[in-house]
Amino acid sequence: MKSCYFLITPDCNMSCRYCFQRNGFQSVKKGPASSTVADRQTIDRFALFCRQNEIKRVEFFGGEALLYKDPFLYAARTFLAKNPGLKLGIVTNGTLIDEEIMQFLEHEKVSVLLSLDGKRTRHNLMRGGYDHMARWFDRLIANGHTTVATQVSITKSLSQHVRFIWKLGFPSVYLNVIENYDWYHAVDIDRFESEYETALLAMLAGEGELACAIAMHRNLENSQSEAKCGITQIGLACDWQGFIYPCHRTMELGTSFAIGDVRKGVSKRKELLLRARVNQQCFKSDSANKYPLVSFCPVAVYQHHGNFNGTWNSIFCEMINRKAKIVAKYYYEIKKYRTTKLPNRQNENVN
Amino acid sequence: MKKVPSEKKPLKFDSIIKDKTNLPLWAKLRVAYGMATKDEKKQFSKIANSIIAKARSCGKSCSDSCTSACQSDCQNDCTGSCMDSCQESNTCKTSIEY
Repeated sequence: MKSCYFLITPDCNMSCRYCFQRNGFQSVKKGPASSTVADRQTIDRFALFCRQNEIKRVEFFGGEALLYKDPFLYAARTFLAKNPGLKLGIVTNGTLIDEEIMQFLEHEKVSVLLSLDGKRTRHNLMRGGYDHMARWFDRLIANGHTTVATQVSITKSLSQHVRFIWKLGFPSVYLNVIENYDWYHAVDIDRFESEYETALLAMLAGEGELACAIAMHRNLENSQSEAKCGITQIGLACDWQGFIYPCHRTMELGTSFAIGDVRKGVSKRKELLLRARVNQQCFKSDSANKYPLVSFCPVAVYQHHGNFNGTWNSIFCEMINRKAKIVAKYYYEIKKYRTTKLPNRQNENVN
Repeated sequence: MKKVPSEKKPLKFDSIIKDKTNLPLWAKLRVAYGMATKDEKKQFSKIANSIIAKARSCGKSCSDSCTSACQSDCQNDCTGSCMDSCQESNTCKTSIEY
């Protein structure tokens, strides 16, 4: 399914401690002071871009996608009206949901990726706003289209927080290992492995789904690693100004990395050159060779080193290896789990 | 000809993962981390050997007693004991014990 991210605004109402976008948009040329949110013209043109390019799914993100409510609702309704059959998704911190937005999410069956780091204390330590989002938990769970993304900000007691989220009623949790250089310490590697194993065993006992383990399990059934990322393949993203990029993070590097815009479309030449450049410099680098199971964000590499072939974050890479190790350790049990609990999702393509 | 025991070089993790014997990654990881059971090692050997055998001119699979998979083509005539021949010729760059 061809999909595209729509970054409706780079602005956010929160300041999460590990936010990878914190410094990412400084280099982006912004328009007039009032214009850090997509205007109607850009939204209309993006709706047309989706139709012309047979985009079947649009994922809202930011910043915080719900920060500017009216533009969000206008955009979502326009995309749906101009593209029958289009699926919508949203990545959100959940603190700005109100009754009108909730009804829209329910009525249009919008897939929600909710950022929730666990119990109230931990979540507020890293992100804040737990009580603002908690009031909507029951309805987000009931709509059946919500997955929780949990940042592995602290490895200690990680599994307890995953199990807490399942106990709330959220059926699925995706654990994101943080790519920020210097976030983790070496001690986090073994601790993460232990906590991940505990969480996986809880999944196999029926407490909930560890979506990242299912995705990893699917990948490990191949004979060669397909660790890559959208920027080298078919990723697409549009920013609030209407520039098109090969993935949702490339825009953090500035408009010089755009491969087109919603008015003129995508330049195939620019697209091929940039994807090939990133593939060659990042995924054929020494780090890529050393960590064949890992897909480290090329944008994170560029932001840290100023080029795409810099060294990857080794602790991050080791943690991913340990995740793969645990999934391989319980390969047969997870296979049985997928067959019995997820029979309709055997061939699902999950990022 | 005297058999020269092949030197068991410790394999780097990335070498196992990038190994071209067509085993699924989960199997390679079980080998790499020492999690493979005895039965799995036998099974993996069979898979690895049959794939390697297809690439060889003799087309014969290695015997069940074979415990290692040769990464490079055997230089000697294949007698069905591919691993012994590989060890004799010492052309193997790496060996994996499944």
